[in-house]
Amino acid sequence: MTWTWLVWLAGWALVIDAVRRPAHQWTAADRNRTFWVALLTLMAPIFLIPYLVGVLPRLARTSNATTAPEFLRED
Amino acid sequence: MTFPVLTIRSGDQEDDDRLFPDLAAPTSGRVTALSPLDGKPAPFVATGVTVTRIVEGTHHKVLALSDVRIDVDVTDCRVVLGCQKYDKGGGWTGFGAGAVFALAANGVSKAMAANRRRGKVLVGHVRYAWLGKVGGSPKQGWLDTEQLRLIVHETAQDGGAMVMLTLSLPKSMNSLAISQDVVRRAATWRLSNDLSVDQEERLSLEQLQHAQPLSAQPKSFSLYTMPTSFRVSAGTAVGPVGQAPGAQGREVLDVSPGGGTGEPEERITS
Repeated sequence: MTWTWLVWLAGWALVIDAVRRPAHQWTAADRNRTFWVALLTLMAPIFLIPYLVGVLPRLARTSNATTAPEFLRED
Repeated sequence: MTFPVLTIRSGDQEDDDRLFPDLAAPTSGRVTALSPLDGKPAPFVATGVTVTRIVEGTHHKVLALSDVRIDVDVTDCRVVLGCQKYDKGGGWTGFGAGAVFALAANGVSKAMAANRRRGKVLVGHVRYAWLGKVGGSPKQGWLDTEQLRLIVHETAQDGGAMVMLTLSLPKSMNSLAISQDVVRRAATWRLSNDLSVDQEERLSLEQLQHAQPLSAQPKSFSLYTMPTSFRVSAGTAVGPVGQAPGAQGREVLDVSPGGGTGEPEERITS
């Protein structure tokens, strides 16, 4: 029972993280934010592992690695 | 034939890379191949692109893509871009039972799109010899997008149109900083590769080599203008371009944007 709640909480924490990431990061990672937010919100126990394996690393890789720092806004 | 800036290439094509870039090796982690002449590239990602031809004041939209990932590199001799998933499919929506149908239709559509574009990549570049103007339009309002624009001119044989390449950028990007880097590199390239630069033009290019950031204009583009540029052709793709004043066999260079001899080294004054 406790484990189930932990999985749901982790899923929702990832939903918050996903929503806070800018749209261009999702585009650069070639993943659909709406799709993954919906899956994690409704079926976190099933899609938590696929998200952690297939989506989160790509988002982390594309966060700033593909952009020269001098081209980023300072504000 | 018109010059669309962008074209679709596949790995088995063995064209030269003068008008369009070559594809990188699949294991390189890159989309487009770079050469030693490209120096140290500064990469960024664009999320959309529009190509517009302007003939006698009339705008013709050649291509418009949005919500795609376009890998762009500002290098020492060009601005090069490549997009692997230019044809994404999908677009079906529905509610209730329709949502189930839309889900299936999107799956089929995306699979068909993946099949259509297998091994093909949308690529293009703007070489600095061709660059007429470059600038940006920063995101200033809620509905605005950050945009970068590069302008080149076709030869008379290709239609003589002005071709605008407009890239949509993520809001974290600074289009004016990118255009500043492009114009500095373009001026440097022209100074070391254009044999036809005269004293007056040299001064202008030297100023552009140290160009300061442009100030943002509301709802419009702030553009740097190169003093001269060459019309797009394979002959002006790689340096050296132009002919030194007084050189034997120098081509007559047309200086009016609308006219032109159609010679490969046609040059225009901004």
